[in-house]
Amino acid sequence: MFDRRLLRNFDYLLLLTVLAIMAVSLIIISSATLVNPSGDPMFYVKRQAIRFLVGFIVLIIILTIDYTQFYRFSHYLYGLNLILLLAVLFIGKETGGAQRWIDLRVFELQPSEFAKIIIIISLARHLAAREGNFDSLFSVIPSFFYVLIPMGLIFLQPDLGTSVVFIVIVFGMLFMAGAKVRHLLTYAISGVVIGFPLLWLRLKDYQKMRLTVFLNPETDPLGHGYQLMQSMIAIGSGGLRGKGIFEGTQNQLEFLLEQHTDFIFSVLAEEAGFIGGVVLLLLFMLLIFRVIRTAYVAKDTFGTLICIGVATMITFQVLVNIGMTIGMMPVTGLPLPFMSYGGSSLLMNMIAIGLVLNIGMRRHKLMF
Amino acid sequence: MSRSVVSNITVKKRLLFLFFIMALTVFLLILRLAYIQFVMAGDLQAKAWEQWNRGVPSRAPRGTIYDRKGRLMAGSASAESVIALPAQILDKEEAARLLAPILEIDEEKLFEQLSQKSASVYIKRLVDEETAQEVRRLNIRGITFAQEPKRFYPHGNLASQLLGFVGVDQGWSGLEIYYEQILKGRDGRFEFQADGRGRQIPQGIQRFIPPEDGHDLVLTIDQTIQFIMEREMDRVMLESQPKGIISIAVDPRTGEILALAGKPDFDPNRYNEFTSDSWKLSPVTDSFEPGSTFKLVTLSAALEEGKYRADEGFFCGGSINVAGSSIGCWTRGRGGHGAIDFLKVVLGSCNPGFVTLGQRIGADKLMQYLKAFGFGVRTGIDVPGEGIGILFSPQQYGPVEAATTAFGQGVSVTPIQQVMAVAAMANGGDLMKPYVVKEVRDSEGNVVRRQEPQVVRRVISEETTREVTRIMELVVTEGSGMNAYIDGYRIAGKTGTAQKVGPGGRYIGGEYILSFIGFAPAEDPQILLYIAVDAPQVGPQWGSQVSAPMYKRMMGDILKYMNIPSSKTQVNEAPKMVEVPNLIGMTLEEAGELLEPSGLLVRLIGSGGSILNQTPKAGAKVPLHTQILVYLGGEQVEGEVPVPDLTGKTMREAGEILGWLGLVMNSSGSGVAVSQDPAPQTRVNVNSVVNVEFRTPGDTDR
Repeated sequence: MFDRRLLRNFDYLLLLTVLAIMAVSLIIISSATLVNPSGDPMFYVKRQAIRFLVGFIVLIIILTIDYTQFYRFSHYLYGLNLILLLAVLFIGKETGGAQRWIDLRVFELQPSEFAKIIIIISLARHLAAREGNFDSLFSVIPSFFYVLIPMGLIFLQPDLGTSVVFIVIVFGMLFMAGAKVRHLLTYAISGVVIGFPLLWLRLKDYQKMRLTVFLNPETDPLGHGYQLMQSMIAIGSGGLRGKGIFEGTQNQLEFLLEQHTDFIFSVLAEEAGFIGGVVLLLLFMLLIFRVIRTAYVAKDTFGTLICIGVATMITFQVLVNIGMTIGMMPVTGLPLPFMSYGGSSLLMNMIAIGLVLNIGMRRHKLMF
Repeated sequence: MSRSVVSNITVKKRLLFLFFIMALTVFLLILRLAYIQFVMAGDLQAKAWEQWNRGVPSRAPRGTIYDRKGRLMAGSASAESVIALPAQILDKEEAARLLAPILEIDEEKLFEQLSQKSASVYIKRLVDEETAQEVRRLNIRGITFAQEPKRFYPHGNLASQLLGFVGVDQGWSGLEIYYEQILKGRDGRFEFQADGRGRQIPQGIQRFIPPEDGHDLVLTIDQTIQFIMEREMDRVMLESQPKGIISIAVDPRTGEILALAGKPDFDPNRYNEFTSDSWKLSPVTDSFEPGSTFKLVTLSAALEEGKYRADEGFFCGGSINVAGSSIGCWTRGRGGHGAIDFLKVVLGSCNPGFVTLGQRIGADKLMQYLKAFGFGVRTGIDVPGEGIGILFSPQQYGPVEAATTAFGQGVSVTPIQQVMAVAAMANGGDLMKPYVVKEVRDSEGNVVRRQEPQVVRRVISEETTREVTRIMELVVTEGSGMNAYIDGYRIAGKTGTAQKVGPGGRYIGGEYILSFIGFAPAEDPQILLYIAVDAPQVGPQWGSQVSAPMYKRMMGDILKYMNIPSSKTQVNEAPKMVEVPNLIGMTLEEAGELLEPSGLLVRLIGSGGSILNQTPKAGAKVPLHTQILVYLGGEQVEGEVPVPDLTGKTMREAGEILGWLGLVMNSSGSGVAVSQDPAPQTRVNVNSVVNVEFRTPGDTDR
């Protein structure tokens, strides 16, 4: 079932990049969670390392399945996705005013994370099947609706950040599928003009606050702006070379909150400085480049579109998460891919990279 | 499923475009990161430092100030400050409600302080012990105390301008600011690291940087001399109601300041209840026209240059013509001193005589002497804000200016300059550098620094000083200084009555600065005393009547205190009995000229232009320093006196002060005066009763 010749086209560089980011992640998590309630300084690192291992196994499993199989099953995946998203609304665990997790005992499943990769796969099929038929303004509407349903369910949790990821993915993939730029721009602009005020009315107060406070965090230094201020202080005090791993005062002394999840980049930039921050960003750039390259060499539009979906998703998450820590973006709960502590997000990203590697190594039809 | 419809070129273009957008995104993030980590780094680093490095200051005890005999003049006691740790206060509103009345802080303001997001907040600095106890009794979680030194001055107003005071955290005036670095030591700090919730981290770095105690100062000041001096000053402040009094006592041999004060002054323990004007050390900061005391400089110069012979004749016609200008003598009213000799020129303080001496010395030479005596430059005394005075600049300095300079007009000097110049005449001719801090000692008592007497330069020969001293003795035994005569001692002195110069440079009519400078014992001068009384509002404005008797009382007590035996070699003695002159019909001014060298004390009664009557009668022989009563015309307003502020005075002091004014004290309690009735400045009749309540300090029962 698994042909060794496939390895000739295997993108080792992409895999190495991912492993490098993971290594950075483990170091920073170990620093961010050095002091933790469990008493074991390595508690979080161990757990995350196990997840990396699990993620790696899942990635290998994904590699063994020809990605074209996913084309066939994508409708089922789409359906499963909707069921999970509905389920989370009813039986999900509520934390912090949002219902995002399903407790599976072994680990807490976050369906919205998997929804991302599932929508990439199923939208890739949806678009690939309609390739060449995106000449008119209205021809793209079904694709929007296709995404709107799972996205709406996620929005209801509520999880604004992830919902926005969906929009970006759709636009990226539609663009790649051949939709006219002016049509996409028309939708984007009218979406902002009509959608944003409607959205604003639907938003909960804390979400509004998060959306606006980044513009001027000092207006609310104790409340919503606090995390942002602390993040900026941590990063700014890092300077060029940083304070040294385990030496970040803002991190170690818990001025930074959620420093191993949403604000892990702040810890990196504080302790490893500008150099560390740039190295990580360049690693992400390399990763994106390899994914885009795979999109180019893919043997079919389905593969290309999946790659573009993955690249768009990762880029957007990097932008939103790091942008948030440096005051460029509102505070949203989007994790930093491969870096933030957490299982679902990591697993989803591993599957995504697995798919890209899969597409890359199966770029040629094999001769038997 | 193979790529066919969308062309490869389009795919390539769109992929490139997407990658470009993504790369741009990463690039923007890097740019912003660089901005934060380089441009904003400084500010943010400071914020970070502030946030996590929490320190409880452990203040260094401020150095103590002692007088030359080791008596305490300024010390530090420990007082407590109330500190809140907001993170630990459970119910902030409740805490604010309970604390507000005790600490006398507005409840809302307090609540805001308690709600601050910082590890610790000073709620109230330096509270007294009872307040601290009350707060402690409440036992509110998150309210703690920090020990901080509080400055106290055991003698209140005594030497207050010299000592200065400590405001919030540092010296603000006087020696407290001049020696700030030496006195304050280095604050220690208990540093600990606190986390984002303000909790001390157990495994965080902790260190205690012990405070380095401030060094102690040992002054050249003698507390007793200072006390004698200020007591007399306070008395004259009440009796004559002048705008101010300046006084300096110095050891002429070394330049050590023995006492130094200006009135009105303040109580450094409650400095904020006084105007900031009262804080400055006027004997050193202020400068004014010296008047007659300055004539000693001209005399010394003339002697040194061989241009003065005491028995040489001189005629004073009431004025002298210099380069076309007529310069008057103070005796102008009665046609001048007439035919006198140069000894009388000095004893009678004759202006034309001194102009003549100045001309003999020569304008340039005179200026050289002024500078040699230290005028026109700071003496370098170790107190803040020393003034410099004004001499004529070479361009302004013509014959008229030289002439007025010769008798002390048109120049402006600081009291300390005047004192050091005369000290040179007293000590054999050396201009000394004055100083008030003798020693700096560390907290173990080891001497860190010792100030030795410093000769600035030799100004005149010993021979000259002997002659100047002899003449100054004569001023006291038979001249205008007779009222400063102390039986049994050889006293040298010189009176001064200078018209005050207003802000515009014009003389203020009717306002004089009455001064006296002198030293004792003349044969071996150990103490030099200078007094200047600024514009007395009550009584005669003559140096002989105000500053000379003051000098006598001060010097007399000081000599006694210093155990200086009476002089055995007394050459000149003031007459034991003097004749009372006839003053009836004279104007006050005329009477002044006559009484100046009389050795009599005058008490004016009533108000008006001319003298109606006098007791004793003219021609009567009375002992030296007898008070004669002079009745002026006009209604008898005698008897209305303002009640003095007795706060902080001991019972003995209060009784003495009231006695000077002819008031009667009705005391209650013991300790120091805390309240009085009538209130200070109320005008009451002589012989009125003033009720004064005394209480022992610390024995407060609120």
